[in-house]
Amino acid sequence: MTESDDAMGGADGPRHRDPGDDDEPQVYAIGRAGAGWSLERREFLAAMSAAAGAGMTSGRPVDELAAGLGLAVDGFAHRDPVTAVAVTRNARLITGSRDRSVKFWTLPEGALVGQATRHTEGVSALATSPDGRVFASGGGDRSVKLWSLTTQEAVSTLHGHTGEVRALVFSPDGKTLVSAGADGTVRVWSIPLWDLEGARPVRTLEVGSPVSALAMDPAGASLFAGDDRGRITAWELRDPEGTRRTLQAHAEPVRALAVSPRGDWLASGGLDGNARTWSLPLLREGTVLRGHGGGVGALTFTPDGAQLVTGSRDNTIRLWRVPQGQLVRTLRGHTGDVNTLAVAPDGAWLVSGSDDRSVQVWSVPEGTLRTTLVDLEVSPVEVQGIRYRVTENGREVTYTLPGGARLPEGAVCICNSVPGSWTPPAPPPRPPRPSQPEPYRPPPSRGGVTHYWYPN
Amino acid sequence: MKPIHLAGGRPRRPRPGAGGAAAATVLALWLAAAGACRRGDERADDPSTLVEILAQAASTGRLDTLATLCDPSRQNDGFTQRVCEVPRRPGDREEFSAFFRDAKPGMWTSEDTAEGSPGMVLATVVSGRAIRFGTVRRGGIWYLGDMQPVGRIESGVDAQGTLTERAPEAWFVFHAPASGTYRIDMRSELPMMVELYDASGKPLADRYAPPPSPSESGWRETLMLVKEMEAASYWLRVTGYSVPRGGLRLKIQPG
Repeated sequence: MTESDDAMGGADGPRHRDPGDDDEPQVYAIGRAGAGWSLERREFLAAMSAAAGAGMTSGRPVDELAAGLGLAVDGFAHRDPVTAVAVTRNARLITGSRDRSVKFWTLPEGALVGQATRHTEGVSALATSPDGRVFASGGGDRSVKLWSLTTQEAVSTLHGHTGEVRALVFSPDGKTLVSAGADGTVRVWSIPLWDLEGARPVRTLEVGSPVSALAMDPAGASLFAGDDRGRITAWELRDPEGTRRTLQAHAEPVRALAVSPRGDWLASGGLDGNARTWSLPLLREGTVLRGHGGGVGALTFTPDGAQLVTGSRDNTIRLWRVPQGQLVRTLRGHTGDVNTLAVAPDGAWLVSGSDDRSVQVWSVPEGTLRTTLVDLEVSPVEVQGIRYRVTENGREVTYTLPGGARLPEGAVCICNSVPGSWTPPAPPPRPPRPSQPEPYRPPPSRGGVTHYWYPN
Repeated sequence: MKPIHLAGGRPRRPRPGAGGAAAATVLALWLAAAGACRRGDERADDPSTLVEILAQAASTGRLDTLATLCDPSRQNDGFTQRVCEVPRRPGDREEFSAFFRDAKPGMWTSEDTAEGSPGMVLATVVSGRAIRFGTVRRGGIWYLGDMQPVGRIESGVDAQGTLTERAPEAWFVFHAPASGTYRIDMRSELPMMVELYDASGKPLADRYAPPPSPSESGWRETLMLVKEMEAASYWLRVTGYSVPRGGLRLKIQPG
């Protein structure tokens, strides 16, 4: 048994709860691992979930609770690098990864609420329609898939690209989707409002070099593409001739583009490590944002247009004042390239996805990490010992638990509450993943129907 | 595997259009009867009126009522929200009209009239495409909540359907010509759940999942015996479980 920082048990120690106490969540998460104690991330988070269900962690994110327990949350959202994140109008977070899956999360809590694997290669890009009907995903399988946000299911596949689809953007009215990719083309698709199966190609624009970034102005009039030669190409979409302008923006490939909410600035990020701003509509050079120690792979504006957020291969996220280009803040938390960024419509939360397989949610006003998204299926981790703090008689006491520790009143139980008799719990049966957003649970039977099984 | 027996019966709520002379005509009768004139404050009675309002607005061009159809608690999905925004989006009107002009409600459920209760309307729209509308009751009135496509509504006592990612549920309507017990033979390529409704939209039994292991033929075979059926129309909703696509076939006969 591990020593605690304070006395354990005894008259002044924490009060033991019997296993039968209804008000104590029966959470079993600790197991022996060598000379210490181990905790499966799955079990830990299941414990968190159970505690939350008991009202004990209401309003507290998992990582905050874990920090209070002396645990570091370093779980993963995906099995492979996270390449795309998007936030819907109603604050639903969507993430895509090289692991081919698309996952759905609540924001900012970061609860996983669904996932689907419909691409046969890694997911490279995501975009949501501004009206909250649909989102699109593009991948290494050269396809674009349209998903209903109502059912969280892919309902249509758009074919035409001959290389990886790397970038997607919806028009402001949600009726046009633009895709671009490694084949050096930019494709414009018409997206029906209620009949997604009727999506059809409208126009193909040739760039001549792989395209990794797209952006559209808020009026839906101008389209911008960034290519591997460091160029930005602009088209006037309402011009049937497809008039275009091209400028050399970066010394290395352009990896990210974004237009400010008011449509007065275009920002670009390149593998040369710089971000640049360009005034619209004339594409006059604005400010060069220097400071990242690696290529800039992601860009987004805050909804008020006051700040530009950049994500880099130096693992950091930087917030810059626009148009001055003054660095406001640097966010450190990822341990791999920051590939993708998105800001919630209300501007409160910034979401980042990284090569380190994690998705992190940041408070924009405070510049602090709010949540690291964790999918229990991909995040096993061992923890040596569990500590937690409670306040007793006005002083804060820290306990270190193995199984059998007695719990103080009000403490969150992540332990076996039966002293000396702890045995590792059998892992719970893994429920099948439903194809529907809500898993089916058989309700009590009723009514005048008789069912017979036919033996196979 | 042991048989599962469920006993008892449920009273059924009579509703116009519940019957029909032949199974093949049941769907048409239903759609015609359900489309009868119910307007205005009849949104308090059942949610199917919402679909009639959509059709009327689409065919007449009088679109103002659309703005009142969405859940006042702003819980709509993007598709229904876009319907309610048509009056202020002139660019959407033509597409709205084309899609909803022929909308007709089919079966609906609205048993619980408590505040916030969900309802459902199965309807057909352009080209006979089937849509399931989720509805919600607020302040005694039904509002649109969400909408999603389903497979075509198949009718008859020997019907086939297919579940896909695009149409993740299938609906069947059939007519029992006489009172008695009926057997529903189901064969499916995927694990499925079945819900049986009477003509008034009342569920007759809870969801039912057939055996998880397919036979050597790759098909799952299940028999469902329904006792005390009246000479009336019935609806079956089939959804997949854990597998997104596959075919299924139903045969219904006196048993």
